[in-house]
Amino acid sequence: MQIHWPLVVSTACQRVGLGLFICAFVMGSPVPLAVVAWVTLGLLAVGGIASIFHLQRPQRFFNAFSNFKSHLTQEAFITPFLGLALLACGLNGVLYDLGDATFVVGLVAAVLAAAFLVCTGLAYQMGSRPAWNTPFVLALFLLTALEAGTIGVVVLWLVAGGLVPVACVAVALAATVVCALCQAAYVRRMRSVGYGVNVNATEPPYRSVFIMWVVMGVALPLVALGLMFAMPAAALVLAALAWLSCAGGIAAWTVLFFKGAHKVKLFPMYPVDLNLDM
Amino acid sequence: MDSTSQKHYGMVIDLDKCTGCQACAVACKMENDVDLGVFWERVYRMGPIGQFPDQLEMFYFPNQCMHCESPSCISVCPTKATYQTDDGIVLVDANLCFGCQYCIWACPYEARTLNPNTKTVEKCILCVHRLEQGEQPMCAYTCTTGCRVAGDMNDPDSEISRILAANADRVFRVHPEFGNQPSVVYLLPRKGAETLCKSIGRS
Amino acid sequence: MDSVIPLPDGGKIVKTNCFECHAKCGVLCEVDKDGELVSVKGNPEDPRSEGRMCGKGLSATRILYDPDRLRWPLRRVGERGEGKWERITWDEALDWLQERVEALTEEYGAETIAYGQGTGRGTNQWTGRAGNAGGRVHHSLSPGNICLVPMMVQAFLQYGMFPTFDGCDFDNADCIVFWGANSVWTEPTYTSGQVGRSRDRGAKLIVIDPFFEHPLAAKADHFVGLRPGSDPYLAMAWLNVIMNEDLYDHEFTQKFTNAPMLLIEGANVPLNGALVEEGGNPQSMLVFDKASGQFVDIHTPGIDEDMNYHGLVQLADGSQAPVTTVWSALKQRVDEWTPEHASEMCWVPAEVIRQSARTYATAPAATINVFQGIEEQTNCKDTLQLVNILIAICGNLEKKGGNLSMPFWNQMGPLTGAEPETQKELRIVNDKASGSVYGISNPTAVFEAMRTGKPYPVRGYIMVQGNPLSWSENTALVKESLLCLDLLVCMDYYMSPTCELADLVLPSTHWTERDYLADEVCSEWVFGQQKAVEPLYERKSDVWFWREFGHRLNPEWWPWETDEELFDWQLEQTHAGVTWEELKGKWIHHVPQMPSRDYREHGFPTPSGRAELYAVVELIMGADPLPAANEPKESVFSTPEIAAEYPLTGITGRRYPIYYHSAYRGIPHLREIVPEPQVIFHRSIAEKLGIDYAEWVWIESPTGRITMKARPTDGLDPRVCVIPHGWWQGCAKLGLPGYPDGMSNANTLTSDRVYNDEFLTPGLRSTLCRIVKKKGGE
Ligand SMILES: Nc1nc2c(c(=O)[nH]1)N[C@H]1C(S)=C(S)[C@@H](COP(=O)(O)OP(=O)(O)OC[C@H]3O[C@@H](n4cnc5c(=O)[nH]c(N)nc54)[C@H](O)[C@@H]3O)O[C@H]1N2
Ligand SMILES: Nc1nc2c(c(=O)[nH]1)N[C@H]1C(S)=C(S)[C@@H](COP(=O)(O)OP(=O)(O)OC[C@H]3O[C@@H](n4cnc5c(=O)[nH]c(N)nc54)[C@H](O)[C@@H]3O)O[C@H]1N2
Ligand code: SF4
Ligand code: SF4
Ligand code: SF4
Ligand code: SF4
Ligand code: SF4
Ligand SMILES: [Mo]
Repeated sequence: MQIHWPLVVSTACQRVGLGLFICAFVMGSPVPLAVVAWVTLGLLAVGGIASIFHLQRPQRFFNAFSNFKSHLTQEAFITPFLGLALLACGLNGVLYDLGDATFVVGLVAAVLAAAFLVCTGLAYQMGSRPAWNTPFVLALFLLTALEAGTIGVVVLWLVAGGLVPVACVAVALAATVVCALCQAAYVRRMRSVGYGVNVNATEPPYRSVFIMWVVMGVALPLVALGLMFAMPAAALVLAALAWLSCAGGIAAWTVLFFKGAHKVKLFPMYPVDLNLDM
Repeated sequence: MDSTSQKHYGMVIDLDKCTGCQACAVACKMENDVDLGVFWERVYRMGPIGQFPDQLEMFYFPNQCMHCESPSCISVCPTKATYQTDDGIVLVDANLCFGCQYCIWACPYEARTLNPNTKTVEKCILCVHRLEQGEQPMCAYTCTTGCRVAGDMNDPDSEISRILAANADRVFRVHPEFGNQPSVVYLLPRKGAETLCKSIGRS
Repeated sequence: MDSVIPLPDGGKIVKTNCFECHAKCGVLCEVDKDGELVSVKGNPEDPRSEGRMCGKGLSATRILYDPDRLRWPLRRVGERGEGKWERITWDEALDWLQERVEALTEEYGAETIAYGQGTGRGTNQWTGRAGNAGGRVHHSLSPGNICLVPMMVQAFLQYGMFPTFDGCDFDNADCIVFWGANSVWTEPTYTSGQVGRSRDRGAKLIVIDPFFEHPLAAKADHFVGLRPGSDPYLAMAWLNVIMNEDLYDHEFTQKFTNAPMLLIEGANVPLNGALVEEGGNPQSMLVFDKASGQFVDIHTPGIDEDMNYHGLVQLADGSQAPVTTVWSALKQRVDEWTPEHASEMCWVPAEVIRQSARTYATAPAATINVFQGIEEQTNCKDTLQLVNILIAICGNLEKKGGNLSMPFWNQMGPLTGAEPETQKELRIVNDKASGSVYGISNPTAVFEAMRTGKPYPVRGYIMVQGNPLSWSENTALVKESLLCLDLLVCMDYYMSPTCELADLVLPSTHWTERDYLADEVCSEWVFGQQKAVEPLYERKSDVWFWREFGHRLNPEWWPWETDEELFDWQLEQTHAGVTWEELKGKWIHHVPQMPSRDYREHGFPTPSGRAELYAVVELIMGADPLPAANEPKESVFSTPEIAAEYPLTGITGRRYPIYYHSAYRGIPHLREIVPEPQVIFHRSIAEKLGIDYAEWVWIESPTGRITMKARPTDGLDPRVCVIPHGWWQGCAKLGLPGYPDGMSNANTLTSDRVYNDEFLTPGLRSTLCRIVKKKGGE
């Protein structure tokens, strides 16, 4: 199908941002969670603007809250609460001090963030697109967020000026590997989704984004994270590189995700498609 | 409302008769003033495919909204712009739609287009304005082969029900496995679609 | 008036007929209170179309209000073809035209002006009348030699009526044959519904067509995918099967065809009364009556004709002559063409020929629909005659479910008026073909006379609704010819490529804007085709033009002051039994049947009174009275030296259901459906030449070269390709270009070298050509 760039941008931003917040919250953040919340809010804002631009009539944005069965309405519905929770986190220590409630607010934000990602993932899980007609889609929305999030936490440690706990880098490495494996499995599955819309991602016209994904989403982050052990002096640069590359990898992956999601052929039993020639 | 008296509008299209003349496609444009670049009704062709002259298949396939009983377009639509009438017709309220296009992706039947002028999504309305007057949709009214008939599938005496009953062996719904339960029902070609027939276990 | 139904809001519904094609479907035009056409839909009261309409007809509002339509008379001010015009009034236009015609007639004689039109659009009779009224010769510079005349005249010669067009009784047939005809696209509304109903009843379907994309090919019980132009072999082989397997209708053949008529062997002429008996009737045609053991006139009732008589006959002059029957003479020709032998020439497996012939011949009632696939061939006379013979001997003539006579077609004569006395001597034909059966000039020879002044100068060409730069073979030559004229007048909807070359361009009303009679191809009805809206701008109807113009030049031939008077006269001549006013009020009117419907009573209106396998009139006209398996004059078999360079047999001019020849590419919602010209050829050629789908390619023939987009298909023999015609117009609204100078015009390719001898028909459907991949930059 055609690539919807605003959605590539928005879903990538959302995953990177929300993944960071969730991981920082769960794994413990070396910088105040308020700072993380602002980063996430920033990324969400960019993503939100991009997704509004995807709408052909953005001024009707508020119609989005109408159908609670629709994952998009669900997503839209979560958005303000998520925003508020993140804002509450972000203002913590600036306008007020939540004290013990910090954890609760952080938890709420993290849960909403996860719920948001789940809704987005489910929105793309569609029967009419065999490539998307799989729980892989949801799993991958969550795993890509996890990958970006764990690498992001590594960056946070370095930005905070401390030493990164090895376990933290190991988790990031592990998340990247698991995510890459899952993505690879998805790519493999695309080759045999049936309905006449099998896609071999290593061949044109998918090849270039496939390579971009492998390089940016898998190779570079793994290498950069690995090199951190060898070149501790360059750790921050390497971690930042891994994080940005991973974000780019998610975007590349999403492009491939759109490109490979063909609509079922109406008559897949034929080797050719319907045509409009006269 | 009593379910037996409830209407369920649908259409039957006999692929054995359709000649791909495109009258339906033009009629739809004229009747509903459908914009250029937007298609509520398109007539596709499968084939010809095979070996000339006697190992060939070919048939035409008029395509429009199937007015599914369980439409995937409705469940994804965040604005409720897409809705279903009590009579089973699936419609889009152009005043609500904001053009997110999820319905286009979710519909398995290529039925929807984004109108670049109105920036909302459009599709066949089963000429609900005509059905309400007891008239056939314009595409069916004008069809040069008479291969398409719309009507109340819940009424066993309606023409559509009679055609479906008389051709039960050829009744064919596209991709039933999606569970959309299309109300546009096709009759298989008697000849020229052997691969299709075989793949769905009909001869 | 029943035919105009007022609407509560001040608007109205007008019952009239679509005139976008020959079918002339009954329609309901909705007009609002301001007189604007709002919508058009089919009228279910039309017994033929039953409310159906096709895409062209449904587009009436868009065609009527298309801003590109011509609005007022335009006179050339710049050089010919330069595109500079001045707007003038109709009075000025007609004054000027009258003066020009008179001046040219003065200088060169009336034969210097050719009259013509395009396909039939309700004006065949008036164009003919204009030509005949000129008084010297009617060149008839129209595609009649290509379209309808061969079919119609051949049927008239053999049957005295015309049953293979609107006479196909699809609704009651048990077997339906589309032979070089795609009527479900080209006369869709009164074909498709009926065919579908019959197939539901179990009627068999046979499609004889080189192209598997014929919309019924895949559905057919027999798809006979023959080589273009090889139809006579196939027909011969069908006859071979039917005659030898004894599948013909014995009673009909013996009693109602001239199969038993006696011929003098060798001379191949009928044995007449004067030959066998001193003082006998030279007009009589003899048969051998088994009951009396005598030679009797074929008209004699109650005889037992011997179809296989063979013997030596004592002639009145004392000599002896070997005598045989038409049946035996025919059989002799047919016997050569076993399915196996024919198969070599027509590329159809012998078994398919056999099976399809049996299906046709054994059906209780079967109808054959023929059209352009066999007409646009240099051997059209043979194929048509053979098909007519098949229909007759299988007893399908004037039979319910078979081929029926329809009343309109025998009425042209009185309307066109008698042909000029000098017609035969002045019509222009040359050694390319004699046109023995069709008594007009060969268009290509008239074009030549424009260029060369030989055999005499043709300096003027006045036409309505025709685009010779689209319809005629060898477009480049036609253009060159038109550029030589002193006077070119075109009446059209649009500024067509032909109009662009004219001196005077006249704006025609659309059918929704004009009063007409609809009768041709209306089977047994005549319709009052009244206008739905008042003519816009200064548009006038073609009928109005011929009448006004005719009246100025020759009021004796054109006495009518109004269109209504002319319509009344037309209805009177055709014995319709209504006046225009009455007809307009009731919209539809049933016209009397042809006498041959009751052939047991009245016989057939032919010299023998029977359906003629041997066409007596063709003998008189100097044509072969029996059919032969003639090869197209240019083909892979008859001109192998051309075929060596141009190996593909090209079918030019396959129709689109949404366009009419060269018209309506500018209507955006139609152009959306077929945006670009595509040449269709077998996938293997694309593979061989490295051509991709939708790549622009050259199509080359000995006559010229054009470009279209490649569309490889599985549905053709690899030796055949299909090249649609009519591409010139752009569509600004969709940003789609036009195709100037015949660059995508199929007739840029077609040959003006060879013609059918009898009907002057060019071989458009078997044009030798080749596909060439474009080089970078081309
Ligand atoms: N190669 C090839 N050549 C062919 C054919 C083919 O199959 N192959 N087909 C042949 C046949 S069968 C035919 S009949 C001819 C057709 O030849 P034409 O009749 O000349 O073809 P068109 O392009 O339809 O019509 C010419 C013009 O008539 C205008 N027109 C339409 N309706 C009206 C009207 O009511 N009044 C006036 N004044 N103008 C009107 C249109 O705008 C158009 O410009 O072409 C023949 N030429
Ligand atoms: N929509 C539309 N309708 C039209 C017209 C139009 O332009 N557009 N034009 C009108 C006019 S004037 C005419 S004359 C008619 C023509 O109407 P038709 O003759 O019915 O239509 P065509 O598409 O010209 O050709 C019919 C078939 O002939 C086949 N054919 C080609 N060569 C051969 C051959 O050598 N042998 C055999 N057996 N078949 C062959 C073609 O593949 C095609 O399927 O249509 C009329 N109706
Ligand atoms: S065909 Fe598509 S658009 Fe129509 S009701 Fe079904 S899912 Fe919705
Ligand atoms: S494009 Fe319109 S109709 Fe479709 S899902 Fe979005 S809001 Fe609903
Ligand atoms: S039912 Fe009406 S809206 Fe739907 S395709 Fe037919 S004409 Fe168009
Ligand atoms: S009008 Fe009827 S026959 Fe023609 S394309 Fe449409 S469905 Fe098929
Ligand atoms: S078939 Fe011919 S007459 Fe009938 S609607 Fe179409 S164009 Fe008009
Ligand atoms: Mo024609």
